[in-house]
Amino acid sequence: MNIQTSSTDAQSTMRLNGRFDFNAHKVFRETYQQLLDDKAKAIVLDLSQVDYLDSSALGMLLQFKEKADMQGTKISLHNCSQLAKDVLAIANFDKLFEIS
Amino acid sequence: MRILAVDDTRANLVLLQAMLKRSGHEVVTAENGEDALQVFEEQQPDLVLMDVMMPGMDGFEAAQKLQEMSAPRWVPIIFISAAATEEYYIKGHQSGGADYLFKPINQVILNTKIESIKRIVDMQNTLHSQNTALQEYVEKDEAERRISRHIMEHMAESKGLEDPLISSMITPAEQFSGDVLCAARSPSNRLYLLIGDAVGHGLAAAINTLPISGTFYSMVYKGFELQTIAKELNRRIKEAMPTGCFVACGIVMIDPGESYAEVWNAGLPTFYCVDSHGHVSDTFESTQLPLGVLTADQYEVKSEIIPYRPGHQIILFSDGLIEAENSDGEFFGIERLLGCLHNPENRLDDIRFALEEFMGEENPHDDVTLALVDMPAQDSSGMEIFSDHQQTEILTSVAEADGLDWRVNFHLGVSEVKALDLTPMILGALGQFKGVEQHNQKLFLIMAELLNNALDHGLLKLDSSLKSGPDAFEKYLSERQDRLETLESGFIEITASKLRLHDESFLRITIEDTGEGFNYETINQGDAGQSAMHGRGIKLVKQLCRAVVYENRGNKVTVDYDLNTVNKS
Repeated sequence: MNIQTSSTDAQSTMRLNGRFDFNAHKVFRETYQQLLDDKAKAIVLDLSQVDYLDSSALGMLLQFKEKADMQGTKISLHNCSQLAKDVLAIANFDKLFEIS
Repeated sequence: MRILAVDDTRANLVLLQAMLKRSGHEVVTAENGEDALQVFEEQQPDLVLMDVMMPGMDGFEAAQKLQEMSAPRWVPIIFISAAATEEYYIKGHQSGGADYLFKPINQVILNTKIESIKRIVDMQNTLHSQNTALQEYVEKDEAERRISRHIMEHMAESKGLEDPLISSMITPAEQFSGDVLCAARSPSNRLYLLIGDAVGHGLAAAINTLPISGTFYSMVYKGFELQTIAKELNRRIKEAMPTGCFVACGIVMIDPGESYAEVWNAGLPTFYCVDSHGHVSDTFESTQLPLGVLTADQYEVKSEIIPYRPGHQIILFSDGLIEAENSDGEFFGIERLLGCLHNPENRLDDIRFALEEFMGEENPHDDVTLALVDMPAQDSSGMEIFSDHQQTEILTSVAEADGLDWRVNFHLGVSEVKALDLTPMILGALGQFKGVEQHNQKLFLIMAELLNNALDHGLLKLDSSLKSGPDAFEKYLSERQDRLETLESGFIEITASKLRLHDESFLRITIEDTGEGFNYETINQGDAGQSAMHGRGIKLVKQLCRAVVYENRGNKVTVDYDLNTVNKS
């Protein structure tokens, strides 16, 4: 997986591309950590280019959320593919994240 | 470096020794081949300078022996010879020599060669220590894995899965499974089956599942309700595991006696209930977050209840099954799974075969777990545990006792009644007294029946007739839920004491509620006709106790349970 980031004053966007699974652990964590260190007010995860997402990805999302909550950064998941939506729905993650 | 110099001519040896010392090396010497082997053994030098022409064992032979002695470690040897012939040069290298020096020895060349050998020796030493460390690591890792696997296998006791109502498979993607499957019967013979899928796979995921099986078994054995078990599982995982580690989990409970099934799904793919033709009658979607995401006070457990459907089967599985991916990048998928259910006798094998055929040479990348739970047409396992029970005459009055060993009293108000899983809690307390725990199973049934009567028909004023008719049990339970939530007053009082009469000891339990009671005269007279109204429950209690007596307006019941007979079941 690779991740492109872009930032405006209001928010930062992480555009994820490829398989979102355990192998993406390092790049995902480093990317969001950088944005959090830069004091991003809100972070949008663009999942439109994610063709696979498994339970370790959900675990990484939880870790990300915990870190973001601590410094008051808002997270939302945008452009979820049908597959991503299904996986998130099964785990009922819509109760934790803003998903669109 | 420590250097062994070997030469049969003492003058040469002295010269060599002087040159080496000048360059800062430590020198040990030997004057012939045999000597060299012995000194080498004693002094363990880093490098050997070996004269070729010696009486007895010559340099080449000594070099070969040294290499053999030190194998697998390689000893750097530099040959020294006056004869600068091609043949000697080749033979030197063939005998395991690292280099060749020709007499007369030039100090600068000697130093250069030793330096270059030193680099090789250093490299060899580094490699050797790294290799040793790696080897130790591998051995330690293997030992730890062996221990871990042993612990996992023993904690995940699989005896419960041999239940005749269950068929299952669990196929780890790695040595360890991140999926967990356990089953057990409660004291009232309800069947509980749990399936869990921890984030990821391998050892880390397997560790995540550890708190589950222990908690599950101990709570089922104590007779806790599904919702209480699920809530406790969430608390344990949340407390024990770091953020990001969670466990998708589901539990199915089959109660053949009460004729219903309860299903709870938190984060697993939809479970199905299918009839004998494989047609889906009920679906149980994931309605909740997996275990370990929310804290205990945020986590509410919502389960679904369906009537007991004779001949149907509930199918539960982890996502590793439907997401098994073949070499074309296709998923096994839910359609294929539901297509394997035509033959109710053979479903597990049919699914296994279909999966193997679908995957071909590929292996699933995640743990694959599947369980099928039967609701048999004939309630074969419902109450058979009491078939060995001796039918004794039921006393309808309680005897005065000679002696009292202990007595406990519980007064449970509205909020306790609403919040607690009463039967296991009280039985847990009674079980602390010596000699009570071995009667746990029967006492559980007695206590559960009496407490349910006190709560349902006493405090909540539910009529037993609500239980008859199609889908009655669902309606009954939902009515019960509503009334419990709005209950404002009343209490249940429980007294238990261990009494002695002559040489016998027995447990006397009295339960009184603030409800309206019922006409118990007919029950006290042992009228069988009443059994229809008061259900199997009271009949069972009477079978298990030596006396059952109703008092007041029917809101107080006292039973005597014999503690002398050893529990055979």
